[in-house]
Amino acid sequence: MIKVENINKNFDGKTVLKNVSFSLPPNTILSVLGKSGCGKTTLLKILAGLLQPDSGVFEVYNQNVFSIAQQQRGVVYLSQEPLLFSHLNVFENIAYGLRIRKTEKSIVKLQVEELAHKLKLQDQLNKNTEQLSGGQKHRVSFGRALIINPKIMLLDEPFGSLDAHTRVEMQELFQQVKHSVKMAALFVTHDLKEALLMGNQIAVMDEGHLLQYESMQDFAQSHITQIKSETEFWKNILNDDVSVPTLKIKK
Amino acid sequence: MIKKSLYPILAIVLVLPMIVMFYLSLVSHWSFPKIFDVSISWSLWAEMFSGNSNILQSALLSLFLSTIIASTATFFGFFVSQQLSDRNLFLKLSYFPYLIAPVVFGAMLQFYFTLIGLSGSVWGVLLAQILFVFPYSVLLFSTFWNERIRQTAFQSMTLGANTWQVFLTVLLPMSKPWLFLCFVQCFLISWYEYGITQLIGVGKVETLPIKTMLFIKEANPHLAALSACIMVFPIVLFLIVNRQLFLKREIIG
Repeated sequence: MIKVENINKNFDGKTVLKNVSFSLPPNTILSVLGKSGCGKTTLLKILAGLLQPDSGVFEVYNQNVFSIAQQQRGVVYLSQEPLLFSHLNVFENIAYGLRIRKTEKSIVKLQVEELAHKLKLQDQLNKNTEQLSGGQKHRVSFGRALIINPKIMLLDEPFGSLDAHTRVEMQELFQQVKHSVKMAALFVTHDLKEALLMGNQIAVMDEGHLLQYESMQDFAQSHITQIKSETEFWKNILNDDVSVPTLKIKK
Repeated sequence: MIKKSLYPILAIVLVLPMIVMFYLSLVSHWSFPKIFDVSISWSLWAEMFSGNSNILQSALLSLFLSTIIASTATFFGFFVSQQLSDRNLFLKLSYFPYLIAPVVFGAMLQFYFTLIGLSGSVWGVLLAQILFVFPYSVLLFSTFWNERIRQTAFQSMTLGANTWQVFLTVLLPMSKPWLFLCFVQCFLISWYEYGITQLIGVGKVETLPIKTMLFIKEANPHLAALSACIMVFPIVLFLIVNRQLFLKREIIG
């Protein structure tokens, strides 16, 4: 079980995170939906160890993660940019986590090839990272993270820099992977549809507050998300029963 | 874009002075108004390699100084620049030696170097040139330590790498082009340095540029040309190495 309790963070007197709390069962993906600047990235960076919180608790299976060094947390942070190692080819990029753990060569080869197959990268393994498309780079980035079996993956708008078509491809791939690989993840996005597609659970972040919903139905009913009013609006449009608002211009 | 037809003209403009210089080093009895002297010989070159003209000693001294200075500036510049990457004031201060002429910089140092007894010594010239070249290295590496590199280093940490592994497996390989460029630039700055060496060395430390200027002052164009040919050699060498590296990358790519 992953537990985050009362995380607070201030920057120059400005509160960015206010008592952020949530819990996550194993192998669950929590989509965190929020506008730009609402504190989503700050939360992920704190959980990954890139920033220090002012206060709060982060526990994974009853172990306080904040007291552990970044490299031993088992928490992988993936940003919008794939940030591949440009001096290594695709195979070595994916194998990186195993290489630094000094895993046996034959096991590295086996695991990388297996994962590359899942990520549809089996034909790209010998290529340089500069030769890959945007979507392929993201797949390598995923592979590099997945191969070490992290306890949690923190995905910070991972498909944000991709074009619409590639984005859909990556969303489909992520859905396939999440069923075959056991992992817990926080998937941060500002795209409502993406949040619904990617996560098993959903939370909304607004001005430093995080509200986790019990179920997708609760989320759909919430006035914050405005899903209900949106649905009504489109229903009315389809039924041709909507009065189009007109502008009254004062003379 | 320069049209391809202009390339030969550009090549001639760049290469011609070197050809003339090389030619002058081969003709030891040329005199005005003759345009060409046909009595070409390798005598000056042979004399240099036999150690009679002191050019070889000056070249070796310059090589020693430039190698030490470039290595020191590159090594420390890499780490100091990382520490200063978010301290703009210190980075701006690194421009200071380049806001004033090297001769003025040398004159400012001369007083202190005389006080501590380093004036007129090889070690004095070495230290003065390091003080001049080191900020350049810091400035050059400040372009390497950008947010992307920091994020990439952090990424490798979250994948399980410790600080030493991040340095060895990520930062060092990714910085290789910068390290090479910095070494070459620092080496060349030191290799061609004249003003500071003249002031701190007070004529006792005869590096290759000092020696070349002595030959020019003595109105000896042949030895000056020979000396200048040796001075150009590192640039040609670095260009060849650089070209080989690029070719290698293209083949790998």
